[in-house]
Amino acid sequence: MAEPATLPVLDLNVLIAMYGDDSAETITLALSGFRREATHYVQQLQDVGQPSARKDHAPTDNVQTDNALADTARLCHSLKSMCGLVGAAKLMQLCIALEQAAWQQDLPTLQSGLLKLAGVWPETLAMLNLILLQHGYTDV
Amino acid sequence: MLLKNFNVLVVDDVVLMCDFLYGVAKKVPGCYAFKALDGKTAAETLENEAIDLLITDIEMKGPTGLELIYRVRSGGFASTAHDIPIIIFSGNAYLELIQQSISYDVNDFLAKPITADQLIRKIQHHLQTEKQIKSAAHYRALNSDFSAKTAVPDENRKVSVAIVRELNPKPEAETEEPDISGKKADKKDFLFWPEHATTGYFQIDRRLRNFAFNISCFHNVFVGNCKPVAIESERKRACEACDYLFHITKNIKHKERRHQFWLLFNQRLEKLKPLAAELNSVNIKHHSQVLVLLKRLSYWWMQTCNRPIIQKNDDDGADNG
Repeated sequence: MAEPATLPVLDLNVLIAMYGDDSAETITLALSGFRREATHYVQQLQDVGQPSARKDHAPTDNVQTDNALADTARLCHSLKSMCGLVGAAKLMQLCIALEQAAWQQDLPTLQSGLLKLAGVWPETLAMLNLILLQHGYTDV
Repeated sequence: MLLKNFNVLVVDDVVLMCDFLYGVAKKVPGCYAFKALDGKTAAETLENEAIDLLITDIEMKGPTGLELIYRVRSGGFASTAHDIPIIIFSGNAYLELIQQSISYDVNDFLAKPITADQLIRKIQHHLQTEKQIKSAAHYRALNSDFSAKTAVPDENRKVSVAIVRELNPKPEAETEEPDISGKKADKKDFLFWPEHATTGYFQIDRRLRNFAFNISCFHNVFVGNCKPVAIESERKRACEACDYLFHITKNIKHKERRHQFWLLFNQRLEKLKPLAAELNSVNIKHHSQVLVLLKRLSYWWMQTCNRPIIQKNDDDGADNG
């Protein structure tokens, strides 16, 4: 399994193969849809990883119940599917690790993964915006 | 060649994925696509539209994909038949859910991600390939066995994460439902659906094929002097097959496009109604009465499964509008 650092942030060839179409319209429709929906999922994951107001709480305190862990796993699962569709390989790899950690209740791995997300997502978002601009999408 | 008029429903709670599936399904020649972002919307669509193929994710908030599948297979929707092809489209699956899906005779498991081309081929394949699905009552009975373990305990889930690449459906021979005496209906014995025949409507073709199969099963157990309970069971299935044929025919839209066909076909259905009623009420101890009824059913079948009602699948005339 490749390390996230060696994976492409966004592989447009994957998106083109998935949709079977390399038109600018399809690319911008898929990427803008991904950006909109993934932002929502990432926000929820970041909320999960936020430390609570109490100083004695660790960043993963919000996810320590079984239900919260299952919800986190589902969020990661959905985000992973979306990433696979548009070729966001680095974020997808991270989602796989996060999902497994959530199902296995491996809080240290989950915590470090959520911290990585704070770096991987802005990188993905920047690449998304760049490609969208290159394909004539102005709303970035 | 795919005939027209297929309704495909795609269900996924991820908007991007749902839109992708919807876009692909729309591209399949002759398909009309519906989409649903949650189980509730999907259930409404299945209730109100005659869906011919369901593609669903498993993990959704209520009803889940599996609950939807159960409701389809147990005949829980007014407009959608229980024996439509069902494709599960999911990234993760758990052993218990896969086992349950198999018992509901889902036609395929597809792993995310899948390309548009692969998905189109899968849709075409499943719309053209008939899989023998058991009666709705069978799946209703099955669910009571599963009800105690519908929810997978978290302690099991956490150690059973798996990526499902592709699980081929069971070979056709294994999925055909044997009759109680252990024999399978030999379609050449009594009623059979001619190879490559079509009415021009996929939905009707399947119901007619199902009708032929079930009447043949009934015939086989009856002439084979099987136990009354076996004969009763096959009689019940044959009656259900008749009901499904009447039911699906009522729900087909745009009949005006093939006026002549519908005129003739409705005449044939009117002739079937008294036979179906007699099948439902005939005393199976009255051997001669049952034999006469079977003969009349056979005669009805012979007159119905003929031109102009059915055509060869690759005929130019097989256009359903």
